[in-house]
Amino acid sequence: MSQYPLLDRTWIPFRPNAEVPAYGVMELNTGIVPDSYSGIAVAATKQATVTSGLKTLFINGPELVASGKHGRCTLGWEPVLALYDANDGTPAVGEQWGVKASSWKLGVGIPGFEVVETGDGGIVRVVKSTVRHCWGKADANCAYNANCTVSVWKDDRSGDSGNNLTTVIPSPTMESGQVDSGDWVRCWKRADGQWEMDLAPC
Amino acid sequence: MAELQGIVTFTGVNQVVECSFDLTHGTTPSVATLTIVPQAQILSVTGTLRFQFGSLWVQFPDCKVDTGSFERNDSNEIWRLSIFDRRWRWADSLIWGHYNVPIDSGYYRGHDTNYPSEKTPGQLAEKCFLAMNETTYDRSNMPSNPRPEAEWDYQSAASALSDLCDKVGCRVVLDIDNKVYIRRAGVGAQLPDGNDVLSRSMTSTPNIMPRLAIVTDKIRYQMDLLLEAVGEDTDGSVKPLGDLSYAAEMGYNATTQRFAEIPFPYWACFNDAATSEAKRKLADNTVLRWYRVKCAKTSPVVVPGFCEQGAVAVAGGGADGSFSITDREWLLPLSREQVQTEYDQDEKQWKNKDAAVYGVWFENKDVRTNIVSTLTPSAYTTSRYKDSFSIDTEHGIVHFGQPVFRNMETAAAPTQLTIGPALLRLRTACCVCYPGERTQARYVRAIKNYTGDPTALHCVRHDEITPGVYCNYSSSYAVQRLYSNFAWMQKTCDYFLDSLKKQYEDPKPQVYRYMGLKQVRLDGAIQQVTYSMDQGSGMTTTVTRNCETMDRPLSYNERLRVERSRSIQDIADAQKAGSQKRQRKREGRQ
Repeated sequence: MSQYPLLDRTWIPFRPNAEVPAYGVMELNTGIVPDSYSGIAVAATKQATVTSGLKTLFINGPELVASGKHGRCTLGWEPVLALYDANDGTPAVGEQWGVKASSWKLGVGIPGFEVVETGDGGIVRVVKSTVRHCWGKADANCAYNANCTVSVWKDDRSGDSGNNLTTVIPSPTMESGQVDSGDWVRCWKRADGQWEMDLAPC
Repeated sequence: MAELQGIVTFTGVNQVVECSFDLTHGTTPSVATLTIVPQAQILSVTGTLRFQFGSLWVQFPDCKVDTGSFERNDSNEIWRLSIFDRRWRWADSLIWGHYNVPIDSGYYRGHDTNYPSEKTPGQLAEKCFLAMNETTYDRSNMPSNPRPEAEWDYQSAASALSDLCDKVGCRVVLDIDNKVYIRRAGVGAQLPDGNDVLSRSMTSTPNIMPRLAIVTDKIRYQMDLLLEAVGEDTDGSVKPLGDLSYAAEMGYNATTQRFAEIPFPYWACFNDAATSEAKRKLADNTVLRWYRVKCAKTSPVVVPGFCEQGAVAVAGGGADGSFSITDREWLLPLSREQVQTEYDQDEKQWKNKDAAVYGVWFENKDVRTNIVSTLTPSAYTTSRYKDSFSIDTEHGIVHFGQPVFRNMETAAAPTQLTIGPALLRLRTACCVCYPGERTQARYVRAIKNYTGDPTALHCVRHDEITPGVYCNYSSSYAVQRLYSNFAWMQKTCDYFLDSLKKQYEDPKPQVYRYMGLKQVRLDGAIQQVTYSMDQGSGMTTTVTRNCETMDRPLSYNERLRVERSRSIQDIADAQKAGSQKRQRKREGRQ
């Protein structure tokens, strides 16, 4: 472990479109654009627009960064501090917390980050957790081998996360007409990026 | 009563007709010249030279015949030769070692209990005697205070001993009891008077005693120097951050001392102009990495004890003897060491502490508070910067390997980091120029109670005396208490002043010539005893005090110079031979 972890961390320069508090969680805005002079890739970021664990997220460093100014952020592949919403309780080790729409803070039960140290005072240490499975409800009857839409639910199934998987295909082992509208399904992400239902209905 | 007759004998010589032997100070052997009844060969190369006059005698064992000095008659018989006294054995002695290596504080490196480097002159002399295989000696008259540096690199031990004695105002004396003494130069007994004195010669040379002074090495002052963040500008100049031409571009506000943009990593803020790359490099290399000693009229550096340096008075000093410097140039170059010393467990020796940086800085850990909240002297132990840095001593700039900054948020438990320059001090030593003059201060120790010619001054530099000063600071960096090695230094200076003074005191040189053999012992004042025996005047003894007889081929000082040059020549010859050998090897390989 380094003596000065902040210096040794892999930082990505970013420029937000609004003031970001220290440790705020952001999503990509217009992309990561190399500077025309130096070639340094600077991420253009914004506040999360949807509650989702499926997007690439960035966590601001320890500094407040004004709109249009440069800051430093990480992808969270190593344990980093992030803001959490104290209204969702106190993060406990092992829980999944993810980004909430219109917030710089993590919310409980949303995939995206695993808590590695109990939260305290609005700041929690988390590490990126790759989302490979998620639960949701089919929005309509699902035909065999046809794309369908699944509303992704929070991990605790307490409600719709507001995020949809629009191109989910049933697993080849599933029979035609097996999934009806409103059925609970489990989806997984294949290596080619295609989401597929592998468990339904329940 | 039969008339007493002088007899001179030497082992292996049948009969000595005439003899003259000058016994003198130093490590080079004295030479006896013998005229003998011609004989085919000398039976012994070494032996005892003995002078006898009635019941009185002196003898010098282990003398050696100088075989190159033989003079022969027509029958090829030897009739004149020279003999060295036993100091001939010292010529081939070798010594090596480095002792009393001075460090800034005036102490000496290598206070290891197993291998101490600090040696008194007496201890150094012992080493020389050991190398010379000399066991019968007395060094009790050597001074104990001076610590002359001895850097012996496989050189003649006899020459090293001569040099050492010269440095501390002593002489090597082979006395008539065959024992070697170290005597204080100029100090010794009066010449004995009596009926046997054939002639007396006394001259008096009254001298004007000038004001005598010893000038030491430059005084090293240890200070906690305030540092300010600087950067290199596009024109190559080094300026405070707020004065840099690209200060606004990098988001630095000199008033609030805060960065509006986060400089890490890559200084991505420079992205709007064609000149950005050069500025980025400058900022990345220097901003928050370079901190320079702050010294100006608005923030002077207080030099502790500057006005307490002996004879030289400095106007404008504070009541505590401190003095305020307002130009950084007067402090440069800085040292990389402090005046204070510490015992190095790894190197097993005492050494000056390395220069250290401490203060209010951010540790780059997830804890968002600075390492300490306020810059005070007591923070030295808790807030030392432990990562790498170097000191550009010529310009007074500390170069850090990583950006060093502080969190400008002042809350007890800050929720975020706002980057600003660190508040740092550099604890190191430096020499200080006299205000207005670009000459670094030295300690001047003058003779006390001088009432002579005020315009006459004789100063002698002793760079091996290294004065050092440090102090305790109050929490507001006012000088609280001074520490220095001045007491030790003054004693040492006084010793040298004493020796210097003797040069101006009337030495009252005396030359007495005695009938027969006079058993006069050599000391620091009695420099030469000449035993002569010839057929005309019989045996006589000539003794000189505070002078040498004019008929000596070389005076003591001349002999000293010859010894030194011979030693240097030996080294030069050895180096030349070595390089020639290496050259031959290289040529052989090719």
